[in-house]
Amino acid sequence: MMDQRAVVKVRIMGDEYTLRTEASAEHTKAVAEHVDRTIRAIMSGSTTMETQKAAILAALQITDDLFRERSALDGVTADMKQLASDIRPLLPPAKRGDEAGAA
Amino acid sequence: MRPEAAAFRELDTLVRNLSDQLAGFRRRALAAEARSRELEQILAGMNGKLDEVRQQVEDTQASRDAALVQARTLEAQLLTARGEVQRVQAAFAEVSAKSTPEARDQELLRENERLRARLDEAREKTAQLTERVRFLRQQTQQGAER
Repeated sequence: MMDQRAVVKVRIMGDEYTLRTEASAEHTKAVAEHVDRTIRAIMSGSTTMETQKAAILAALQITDDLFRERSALDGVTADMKQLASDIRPLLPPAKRGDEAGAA
Repeated sequence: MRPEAAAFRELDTLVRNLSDQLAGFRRRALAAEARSRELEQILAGMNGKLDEVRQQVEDTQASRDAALVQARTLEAQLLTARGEVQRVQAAFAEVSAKSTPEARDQELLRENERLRARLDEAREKTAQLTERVRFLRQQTQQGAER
């Protein structure tokens, strides 16, 4: 069985990494660019910071962003469910769709 | 499926159904609006007809009033004519009553008496004239003998 994953080469902080991923090359490159940009932003605030420490701080910042986005996404999901429950009574029963997901 | 994807899919389905409903309502509203305009036009036409009918009713009422006045006049004339007929009938009855055989006999008797009275009067006058002529003749003969 052949490996369907693509091989993408990216560069972070001057080092090249070869990645095998199911994601598209554009997505993988965009992720690598984001990591690179975040590390460089952290390092620009201090002239003596090591790359490894900057990478850990970048990982913390990116993870913080991820958690915040997840929380925001949960809020959006709740808002969408609330909106669906508001819309459902406006429709005839045959067009109210699956109500199980609304509970 | 991720919760947000499921929520989005559900919401997407409901919004699409809602859009379909709104499109149906819009079609019905447009149809109702067109029907309303059509009915307004029909109503405007009927108002014109109604004015014509009202005018015809007024004309008919005026004609009826004139006919009533004429009928009253004719009724009065009829009453007068009936009175006249009754008067003529009474006169005719009176004349007819007089023309019965008994009435005629009575009338002839009265006429006979009148004629007899006139005859007696004429005899009386004739006798008086005869006497006067004899007297005058005697006077004339006596004058000639002298």
